[in-house]
Amino acid sequence: MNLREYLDACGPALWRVAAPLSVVQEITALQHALSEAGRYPALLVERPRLADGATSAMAVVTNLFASRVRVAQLLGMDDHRRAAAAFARLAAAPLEPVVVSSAPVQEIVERQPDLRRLPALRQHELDLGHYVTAGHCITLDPETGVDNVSVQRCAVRGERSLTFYPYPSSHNARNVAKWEARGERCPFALWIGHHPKVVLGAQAKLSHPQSHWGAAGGIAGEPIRLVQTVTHGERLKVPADAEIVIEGFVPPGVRVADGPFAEYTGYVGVQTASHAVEVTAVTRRREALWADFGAGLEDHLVPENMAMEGRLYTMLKPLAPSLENVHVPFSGRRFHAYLQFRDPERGEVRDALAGALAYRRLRTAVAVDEDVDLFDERQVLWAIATRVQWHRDALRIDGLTHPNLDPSLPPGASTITKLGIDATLPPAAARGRPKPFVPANTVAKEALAVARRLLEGVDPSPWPSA
Amino acid sequence: MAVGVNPPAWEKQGSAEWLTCPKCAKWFPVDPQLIAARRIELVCPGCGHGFLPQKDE
Repeated sequence: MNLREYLDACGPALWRVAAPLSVVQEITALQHALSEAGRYPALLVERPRLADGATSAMAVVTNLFASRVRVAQLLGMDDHRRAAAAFARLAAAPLEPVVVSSAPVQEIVERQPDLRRLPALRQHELDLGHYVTAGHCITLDPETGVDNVSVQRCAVRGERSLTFYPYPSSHNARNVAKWEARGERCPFALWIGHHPKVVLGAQAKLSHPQSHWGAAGGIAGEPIRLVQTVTHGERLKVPADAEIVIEGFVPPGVRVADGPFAEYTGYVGVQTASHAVEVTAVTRRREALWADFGAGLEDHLVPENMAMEGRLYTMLKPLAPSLENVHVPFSGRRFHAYLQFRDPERGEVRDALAGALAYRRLRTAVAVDEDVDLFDERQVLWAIATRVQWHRDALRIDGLTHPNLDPSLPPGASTITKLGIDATLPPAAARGRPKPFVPANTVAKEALAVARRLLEGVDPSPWPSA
Repeated sequence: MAVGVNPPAWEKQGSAEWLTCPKCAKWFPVDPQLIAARRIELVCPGCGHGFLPQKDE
């Protein structure tokens, strides 16, 4: 299982771009234009142009994850709207990795690499420089030896130097802090490019310390093949079938400026202090493909949000058995979640809202009934507008951990206030009785069928659309 | 109490500060804590110039 097998099987869902697009904003601009048009092909830019005008030896692959429909299909789901339960089920059935002795990702081993020749993108205006955006960064917990994988931004800052910005509350940041407290260098590797199933699996939301390889195998449907890194040996392994691996160490006590960088929030993340990586080796396939996520675009948010849906479903279903579904919408970045219930018992919805708000990434959770389409935000807002009395249905909790890079965060705040909104209907007096609430407006199915037949064959283009 | 010191919770405060590069004059947003620390060299996203924030910036 690898990236090129996936691309070969993509068919018309892959756009092979022959035009020599620049890694400086032009590839990302194409993703913005596609997003505006509401179209989400995977992109293979065959001849990317580097910042100095030279043609890159590596093609760039991006936009692989921009479509929820395609991501769901990848994981064998019929309907992307049911990703929460499916993701939870797949992540709960781990397949342990296997270790191999030789690997495609080590066909070429460069011990004196020049990172500046890689086609890392400079995606947006104000970005500090060229970023590894789809780097799955691996560190180790020094106490247990358990590894952790997470996608974190790294800027190319020299021939063999990177910045490394694990969010302060992330598991990688915890690992690095432990090594730092010992005064030791933290072993580090990042891998780029793999079959999208493996990329999705590696993003499963787990505890700490807990290795991601088992969950990744469960989600991918087969064990992940791992190989020892050339720098760290068996204590730090990487996927054998990835495209590129960058190895090195995070030195203790070193901080460098990282950012600005256009982030998942849709805003530029400020220049801030980050760790540095001293790069010791780059290993790769012979004709490696460079993989990228379009930061802040669907490509970046869709896989993370679907993994969050699975995590929230896993967390909340035991608290609230009437929970039916979860949607983490693109509009809310990673800050909002919509929870759907079917005939909840009294207290269940508030239990679930309180549980959801404990998830660091969320700021607001909204609970609705089964008659509201979680994927139609007009319906969610309609439920808020018509089923909520704020004195009764707003669950405000102060002093909770906050999502990273929240641009509205007050300076120096280490915790924030979060809001749960119960937009469900009051429960029925007894099972099977109607809920004590006025019904929604409807017309008879037969009348609607007549209207729809009337519309068939009529050209609506002269009519106003808003 | 001086204006701006411990403002009430309902008054919005910004989370970013803007600096100009002393070499190329490009503006860019910086974490206020990074400016306050004054020991990590800032890097201009426009020209790559590295500089320490000055007290008057």
